[in-house]
Amino acid sequence: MTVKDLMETSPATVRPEDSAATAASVMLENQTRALPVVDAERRLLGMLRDLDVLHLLLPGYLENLADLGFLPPDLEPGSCTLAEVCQLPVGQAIEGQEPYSVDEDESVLEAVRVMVGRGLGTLPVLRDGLLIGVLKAQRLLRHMAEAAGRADA
Amino acid sequence: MDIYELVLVLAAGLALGLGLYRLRLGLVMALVSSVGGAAAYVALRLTVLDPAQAVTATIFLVAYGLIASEHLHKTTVALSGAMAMLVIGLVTQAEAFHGHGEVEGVDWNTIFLLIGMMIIVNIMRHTGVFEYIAIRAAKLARGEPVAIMVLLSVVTAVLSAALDNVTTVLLIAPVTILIARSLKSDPVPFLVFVVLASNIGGTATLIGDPPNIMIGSSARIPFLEFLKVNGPPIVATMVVYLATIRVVMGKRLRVTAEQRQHVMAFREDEAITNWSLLRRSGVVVALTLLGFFFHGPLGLEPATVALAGAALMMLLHREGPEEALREVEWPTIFFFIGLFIMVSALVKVGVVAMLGEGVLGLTRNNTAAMTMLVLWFSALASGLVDNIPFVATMNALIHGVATTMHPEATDFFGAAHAPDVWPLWWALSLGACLGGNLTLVGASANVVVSGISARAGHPISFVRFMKYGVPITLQGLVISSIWLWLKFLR
Repeated sequence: MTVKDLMETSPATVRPEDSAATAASVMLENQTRALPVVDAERRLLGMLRDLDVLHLLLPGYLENLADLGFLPPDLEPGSCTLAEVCQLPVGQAIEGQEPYSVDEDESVLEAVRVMVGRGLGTLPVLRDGLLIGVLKAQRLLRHMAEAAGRADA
Repeated sequence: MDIYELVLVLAAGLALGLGLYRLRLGLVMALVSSVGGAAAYVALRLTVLDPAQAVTATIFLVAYGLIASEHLHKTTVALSGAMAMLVIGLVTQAEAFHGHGEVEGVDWNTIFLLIGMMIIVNIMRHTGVFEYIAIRAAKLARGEPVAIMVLLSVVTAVLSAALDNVTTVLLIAPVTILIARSLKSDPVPFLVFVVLASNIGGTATLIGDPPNIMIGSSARIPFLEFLKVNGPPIVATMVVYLATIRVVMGKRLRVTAEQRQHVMAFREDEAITNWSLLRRSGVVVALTLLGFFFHGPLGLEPATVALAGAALMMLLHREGPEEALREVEWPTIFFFIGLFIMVSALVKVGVVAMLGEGVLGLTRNNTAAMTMLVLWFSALASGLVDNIPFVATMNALIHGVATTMHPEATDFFGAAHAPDVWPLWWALSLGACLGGNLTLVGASANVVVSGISARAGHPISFVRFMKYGVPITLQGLVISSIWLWLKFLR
């Protein structure tokens, strides 16, 4: 069984210049927690997870501190407001990423190995270096459940 | 210099340039390095250096340049340079690893002292104690901005004297920004005062700053001796520094009672994440510092004390050695190793001895003149370039000067501890440590704080830093000059 058999074609994507707010809307509309970030030619630049979007809210300079519990409740530690964060381009959230992907002809087992090893719930699928689909953990779970169902019957 | 040598140099330059270009460092970097390297070699050969000396010096200079340009990681550069020297045969592995005669080789005492302290401090930082101390200091100042600046500076200076400067500012800086934010004040002055204090405080002890660790190790100077000689000028420098803060900032900052209340609303008890770990690491730090105080009379080397502390921390921490060892900044450790090997080669081929003779000639063997030259030149060099390679070279140079002035000395340290050489070590220590405050790139702590400040939306410009750093450094150097004169040169 290859990736082609279980992948979702024409997935929702975002461009690096799209804003965080736009990405959040796309995620909610398509009920997905991760979006491939592609350029105009559908080359994969990175995977934007919901956590990556939330990361934009965290002021970078606080990352070394052990605990932020000491902050008084009304302090705004960020250098920009929530409204400003929403307008940030998602390209910033995936900067420096080396995205993992599989080819459509690879085995599902290989895809699972990558997903489990890297903690990816959604794996982009490429053909000739361009994005053609995504493989979702949910789809694989459904496949497992169906196979178990047939075994019981 | 014959045609074969010239061809070899040009070939090597070409190889270096192509190599750097292939590493995607850009055409300019590749050209500058290869042409600069080849030109340096030719220039050095046209003076009195023989091929081995010229090659060693050229490799060192090219490495120094690449490190300063920051296009390649400094550890990569240092190790590559060291391996080049070993492979060419400018220094042997035995000499590099164990030392031989005047070639010190890798200073394992420094290496393991750094490793030990990194383990101790990095486990301790997870307790949130640095943040706790910073907030307590701000609350002690009752939210008054200038008092906060003064108290945070004192706290940072004391912590930096015992622990490493970078970790101290890495944790105190974010809290400083938050405190300044709650006062609706520009965080930059707060941050700069804190980092200047960390460099000043770190000068006071053997373990406070890497240059002191290297000097203490190279010249066999115990912890208490450092306190006795560097302590007074540093305390004086701090007093003048704090007074300067009060005078300069006193009139400028006005905050409302409401803003002061914001600072008092910080809950420092919430900053401690792990009270039991804090108790355990507190015990280890206290015992380690005691060990440092008495390592001379106990007959233990500083690295032993640090490693004993680290071992104790591992025993008490119960998470296993992987966790503790992960806290070590291995790139920094290997940077030191590569650097020590390169300097060993410089010593072996005789370049350092030549530099030493140059200094002696310039100052006509006059200790007072040499002391002042070392103090001020070290400060300048330390402010402009990375002070670790500079201090490593200077250590070897001062040893060379010592043996030249005292050829009759039977053991290595007899000459180094002679009264007409002794002040040079202190001039190097004070100059190299205090000089780090001159510019934004003068010390690692400065660079770290600049990064944190930029990420908080307040970049600190090179010039703006110097407006604070230069006068403060000059204060420290003048006090040091007077102190050295009074203590050693009258």
